[in-house]
Amino acid sequence: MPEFLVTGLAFLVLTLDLFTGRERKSLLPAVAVVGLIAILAFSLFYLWDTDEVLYGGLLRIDGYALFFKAFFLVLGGFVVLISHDYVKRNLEYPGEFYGILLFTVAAMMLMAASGELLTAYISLELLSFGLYVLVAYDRYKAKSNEGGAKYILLGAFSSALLLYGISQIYGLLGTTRFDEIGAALASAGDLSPGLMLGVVLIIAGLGFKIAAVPFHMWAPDAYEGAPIPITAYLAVGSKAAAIALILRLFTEAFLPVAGDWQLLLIIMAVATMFVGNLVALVQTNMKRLLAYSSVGQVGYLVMGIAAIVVVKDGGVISIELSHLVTNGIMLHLVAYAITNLAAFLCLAAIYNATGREDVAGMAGIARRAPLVGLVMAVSMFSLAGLPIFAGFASKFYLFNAVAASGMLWLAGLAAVASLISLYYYLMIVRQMYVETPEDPTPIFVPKMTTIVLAVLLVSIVLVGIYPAPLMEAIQHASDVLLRSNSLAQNAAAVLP
Amino acid sequence: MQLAWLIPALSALAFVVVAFLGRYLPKRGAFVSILAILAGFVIFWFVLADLLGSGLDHKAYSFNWITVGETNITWGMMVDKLSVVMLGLVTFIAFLVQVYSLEYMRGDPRYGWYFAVHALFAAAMLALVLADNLLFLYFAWEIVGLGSYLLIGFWWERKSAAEAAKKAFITTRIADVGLLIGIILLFKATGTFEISTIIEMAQAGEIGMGTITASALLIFMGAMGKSAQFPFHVWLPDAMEGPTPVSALIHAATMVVAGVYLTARMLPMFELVPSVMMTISVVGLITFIFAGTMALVMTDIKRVLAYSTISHLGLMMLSLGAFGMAAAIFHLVAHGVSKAMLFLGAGSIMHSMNNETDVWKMGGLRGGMRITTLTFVIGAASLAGIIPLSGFFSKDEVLLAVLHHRSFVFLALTLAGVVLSALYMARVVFIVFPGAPRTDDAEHAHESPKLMTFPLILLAFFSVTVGFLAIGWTADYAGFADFLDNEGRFHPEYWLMAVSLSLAGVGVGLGWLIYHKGTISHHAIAQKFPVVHKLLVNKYYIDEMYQWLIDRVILAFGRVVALFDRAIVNDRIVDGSAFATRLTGVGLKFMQTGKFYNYGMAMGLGVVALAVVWWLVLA
Amino acid sequence: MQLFDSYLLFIIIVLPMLGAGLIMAIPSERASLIRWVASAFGLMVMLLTFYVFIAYYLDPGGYQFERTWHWLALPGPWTMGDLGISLTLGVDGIAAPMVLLTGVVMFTGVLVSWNIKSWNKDFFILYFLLLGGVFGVFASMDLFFFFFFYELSVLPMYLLIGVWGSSSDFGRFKRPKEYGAMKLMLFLVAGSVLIWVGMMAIFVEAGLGTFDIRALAAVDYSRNFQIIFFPFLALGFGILAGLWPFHTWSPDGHVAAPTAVSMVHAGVLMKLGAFGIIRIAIFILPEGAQFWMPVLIGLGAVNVIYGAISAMGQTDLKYVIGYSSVSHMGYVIMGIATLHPLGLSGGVLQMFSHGIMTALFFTVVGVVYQRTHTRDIMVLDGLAKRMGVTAVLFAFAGLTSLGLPGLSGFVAELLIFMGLFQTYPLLGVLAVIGAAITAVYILRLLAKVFFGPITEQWDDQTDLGKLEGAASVVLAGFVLLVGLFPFPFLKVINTGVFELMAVLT
Repeated sequence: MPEFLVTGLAFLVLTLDLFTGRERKSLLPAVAVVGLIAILAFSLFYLWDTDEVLYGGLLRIDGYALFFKAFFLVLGGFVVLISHDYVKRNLEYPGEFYGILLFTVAAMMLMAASGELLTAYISLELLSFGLYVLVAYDRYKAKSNEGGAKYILLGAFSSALLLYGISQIYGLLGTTRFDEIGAALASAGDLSPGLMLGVVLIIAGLGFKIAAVPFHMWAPDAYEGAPIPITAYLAVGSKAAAIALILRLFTEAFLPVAGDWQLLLIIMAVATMFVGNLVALVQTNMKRLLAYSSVGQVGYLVMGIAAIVVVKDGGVISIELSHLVTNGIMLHLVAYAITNLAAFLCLAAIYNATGREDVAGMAGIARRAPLVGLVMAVSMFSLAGLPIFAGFASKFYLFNAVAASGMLWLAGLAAVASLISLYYYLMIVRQMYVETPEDPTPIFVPKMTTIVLAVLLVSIVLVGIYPAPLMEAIQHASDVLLRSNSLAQNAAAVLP
Repeated sequence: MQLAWLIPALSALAFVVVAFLGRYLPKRGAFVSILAILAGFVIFWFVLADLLGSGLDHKAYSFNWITVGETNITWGMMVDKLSVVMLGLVTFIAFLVQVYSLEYMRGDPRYGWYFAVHALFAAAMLALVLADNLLFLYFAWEIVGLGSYLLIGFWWERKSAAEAAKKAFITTRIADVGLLIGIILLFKATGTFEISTIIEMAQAGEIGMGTITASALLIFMGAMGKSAQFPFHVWLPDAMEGPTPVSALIHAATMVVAGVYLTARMLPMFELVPSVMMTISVVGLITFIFAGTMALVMTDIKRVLAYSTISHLGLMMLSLGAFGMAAAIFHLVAHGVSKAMLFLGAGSIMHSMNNETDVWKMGGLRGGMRITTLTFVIGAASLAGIIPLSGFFSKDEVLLAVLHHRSFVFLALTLAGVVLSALYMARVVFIVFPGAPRTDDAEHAHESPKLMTFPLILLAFFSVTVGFLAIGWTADYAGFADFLDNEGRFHPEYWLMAVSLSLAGVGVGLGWLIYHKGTISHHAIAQKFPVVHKLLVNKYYIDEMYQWLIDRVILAFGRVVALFDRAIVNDRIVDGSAFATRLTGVGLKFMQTGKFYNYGMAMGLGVVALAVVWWLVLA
Repeated sequence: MQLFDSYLLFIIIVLPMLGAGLIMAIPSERASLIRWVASAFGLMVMLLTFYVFIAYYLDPGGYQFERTWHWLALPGPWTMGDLGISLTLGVDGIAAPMVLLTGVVMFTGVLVSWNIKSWNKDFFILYFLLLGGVFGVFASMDLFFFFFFYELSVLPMYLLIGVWGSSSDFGRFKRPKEYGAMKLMLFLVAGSVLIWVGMMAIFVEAGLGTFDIRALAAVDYSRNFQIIFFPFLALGFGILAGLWPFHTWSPDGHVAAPTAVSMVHAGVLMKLGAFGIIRIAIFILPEGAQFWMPVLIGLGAVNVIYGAISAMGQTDLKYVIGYSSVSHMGYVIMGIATLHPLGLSGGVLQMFSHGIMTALFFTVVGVVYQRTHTRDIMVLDGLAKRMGVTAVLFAFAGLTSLGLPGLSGFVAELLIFMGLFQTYPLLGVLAVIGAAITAVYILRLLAKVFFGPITEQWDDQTDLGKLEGAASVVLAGFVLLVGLFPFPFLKVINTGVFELMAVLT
């Protein structure tokens, strides 16, 4: 169980923190990264092709979980690397920082693995509490505190909703295991208002995590307040974890009643992508802008989830296209993750050197730090969905999948939304390449940052032009996920 | 006859050589171009002999130029009597003019380029007369236009020259819209550009009358442009901005008659539609008269000649419209020779009076320049229609055609035109040559060098003799008309001859009285009819009208559209929509109040909304 | 040789990218080395494109230089899912001339950009990236990669214009280069959104699970489907082809762009739009094409006239050329939309001819602008006295664009007119008149800017340099070649056109 190892690693870092002097703190991230890599290697080695159910279905150890485990481990590693320089310059208590970070990584891995509502809830809370602290970590900054406060309060509210939803489901179906819920719903056929309320509440609770409209409002403030690495972590990690959970939940548990929630998700998706991208047009702070842009991106993912099954007339559902869709969702998730990481790393590098994090502050970066400028521009283009970068391939695949499962119009709307987004992405590029900076002095970029940037750049392009290997892993994951086809079939059989 | 294609090809080659290698050759390669055209002239004789020998028209050569599916567009040469006549005229005059230019253009910075363009023009013109299909003809037609553009604008540092060149090109170009459409219409109807085929099909009635009429009129429109028929005549007088030999070659003898040639070529088709023929003759008549009236008052010697050219082109068109194809071509030749000579004469006058063109600054030149005077007088007399010069015979044939095929009104007006042309020619002659010099330039006017007088003499000889081709001398040569168009033996209407001759005499006499004797003062006349005089001097205000049309209407419209594109289409519609999108962004931004309880409320409402939607739509 | 042939197109697409990579490796101080590398790659690619064209000419017919690389399988309930998305390259008679065109413009563009002072490294990187994309579009036989390269060729535009471009100012109308660049990007991507929707619709409707263009074209779609979705593709591509009323990006973009980019953009990129209409819209949805043909021709006619008239009203040298390409693309669209062999061949030939001609135009205008630092027609005059060769070249390009026989423009336009008169004679008349209007503004320009007396402020101008000269000579050579001996080009084009006609009937 890699989760244990990660937790152990977290404790190790914390204890190390006690015994290392001020000046040797940079040991901690090193340990963290090495540890994470080791764990990654371990879990890939031992868990490949294992498929078992632990604790009576509380946890799943299967390809799907493994995929996300690996994803989160890598992600965690990157975040630690991104943080390294930033923490050294701007934050105190690196030990706790990295420790908590690692706890949240473990939490995310659990979320992806959980096969039961309460486990999911608990791991989600573990993640949230870690993030609450991290968001407010820069305690001398008013904004950080404000963002943290809002995040905590609203987060509490959202988990209340989620918990209430779970209780609804449990109360009416008498189980919280995904597969049993699925079976029960399949046999029950139509959905009672109480159950539906539960589903709606769960959607709301998870919608908060992925910052889907109208549950997104915390995001800009929290993003703006949080230290940049944590912003990246929020934007990528917690969303990915929530998506991982949602995917499993909706495919295994709620699939039979897809007809009921599909419309809701569609509405949410449309609202999310348009609000996100439109509001991003008028942002002046990079973090807020990226916050809204990621809201927009989530819109596409939600759209994907809405399209997971094709509901034919008469409530008959077919999952023959679900592979395509889930592949699309996961591919887009990965592309989105690496791209955003790159963007935020660039932002962090710029911030460390200039203390600017507003759009105007990007002026002339391309002249002052060519590599940073290049990577930033590339990630902007990738987010906008232009080729040879990851964003193009993933968006194309995802939208194509959505269109294929009979929602061409929705995919079209998504395309329009991403057209709108192009404008503000280009404005950033313009700042960096066209505008002239106040002081043209070159920016110092630490070697570590340079390396990470290079790695991210390469991976963005690689996913963009040759996603086949990645796609294999994803394919495997979604095979596992949709193994419970039988559910769909008998649901189709039962429904009138 | 197989060699016919060589004639244009040689000149084309000469163009390439002179244009690109000229600067490395002695005399900037001028002689290359001259040799090419001379060779053309020689070959012409072989072709002619061959034609007379075999006596039948001949397709010399033909190859595919464009192939799209089953559509083949070929290039080919057609050698028949008509084209051979043109061939002779063009090569001969082009050769003389180039020789003349050797002296006239001496010391010009772009000496080589001048001859290069001459070669290009010659090549295009010869290709035009040899073309056996309309598309190839159009091809050459446009290159001819280009040549004229380059030669008119030869001294482009002069604003006026640049403007004139532009004017000429654009005017003819607009007319060519008609030509091209006409050609394509015929292609659509027949599936070929082959002139002979088209005519055969037309005569066999395989083409709809509508199509024939439309395309005939459109093609004639093109001809009007090139041949400066009213209302397309405006470019020709301005074209005098070019070097004088150019005017002699292009704007008297060759290019401007291309329209006449084209019309003659297509005449068998035109003849099928009476209305078309009527249109042609009316246009010709109008041009004939009204250009003549303007020629009366010009003070620039070249412009007088230019308007007289327009007027005579009108006469040719009139004759074509009156089914007098042979007459038209005959007049074309006669006029070509005489007018070329006149221009060259004018050139030699200018040459000796350092480029003075105002007739009122000349006078008494006969003392200084005998040859020029003599030749000029011959040319003038020939155009005035004095027996026994070529102009007399050709004009007489035209009158015959009009007499036979058109109403009396036409005849009367044509005769009036005859008076006019006699009058303005007499005017020039009597002002320029006899009497006392008006300026000391005129005082010191001296004869031009041999290279310039030699062509004059040669042309003079021909303009005296060509006329006699009209009469059938031998058994198998029954006059030009018969040679060209098998119209049978030449038999004149003697009364008509008498009338026209006497009218010409009247014209000359008037000129003598007014401008030499001075018994009638032209000032007095001008004061007597101020309106008419003003109208004529200002060329009926047609140029002004066009200018106004272009500046105030067309260009203004262009500016309006440009503004519309910028202000409305772009700044309003395009940028507007972008702006609107941004505005929605601003609007939505306000929902982000920053107060967390608003956020909470939003979430709550969101849940409710979702539930309600489910309730309404799904449950 | 066979092996080489099968890789040739791939090489042609990748070579520019390699060049970009190589240049990226050179330190930016060594500007001249970068130039030499750039021109070396440009030359190589041009020669390869010559090879493609000549090889196709010698043995025309069908799709040649084909090769398929598997890229991604698409899971789903369909027949060809495992083929899915794969990089299939190949050229037919319509693509081959376009590839040649791109090669020529690419190389001449490099020559013209020789003396770019600032950031010439980054310039060439982006420039090569752009051209790699263009080659890709012309060569891909897979819808996904068609779109991929299509987007790729739009992507670098923003920076190329934004960084190296030039702003213009008409008092009330300011046109900063960033504005031009941004508008261009948004327009083109908006277009590709439409295209994308059309593509998705086709993919779903066909239900083959593959993006292979020929496989998709083999399916026969319901008439209604075709009628509904043809406009998406036609308009989407039409935007890039400067179709009225979506043309406004093109003059602003051209004017803002640096010379080489204007050349590539007006010369090649706008052709991508027309090419897309042929390769995707008409080839896959023939019935839709037949249904919408009149509308398309009508819009094309508006392009011709409207573009020509607004060109007449411009006071900026480059804007005149910009609008003239709007007008000339109108001919292309009209010709293609006739769906008649004559018109189609004419349209494709016009694509080639206009590409070369407009490249020449922008070269010359670039020279003038670089020397005099103004493009204001009202200010310039009599330049021919000091810049004789430049004047001659401008006149040459001008005569081409007004359709003088013997130059490439005439052949193309003639065929288009013939095609139009076979289908819509009245619009044909409009088209011919458009050519006359072109004559008006071109000749006015010549008379004003190059002829007439020169004012002393221009008296110390120098004529164009060796490299610009070389570039112009190459381009002018092609103009003459096509104008006098069109048959090799038409032979190649016709093979493509008639294969297309087979689909249409």
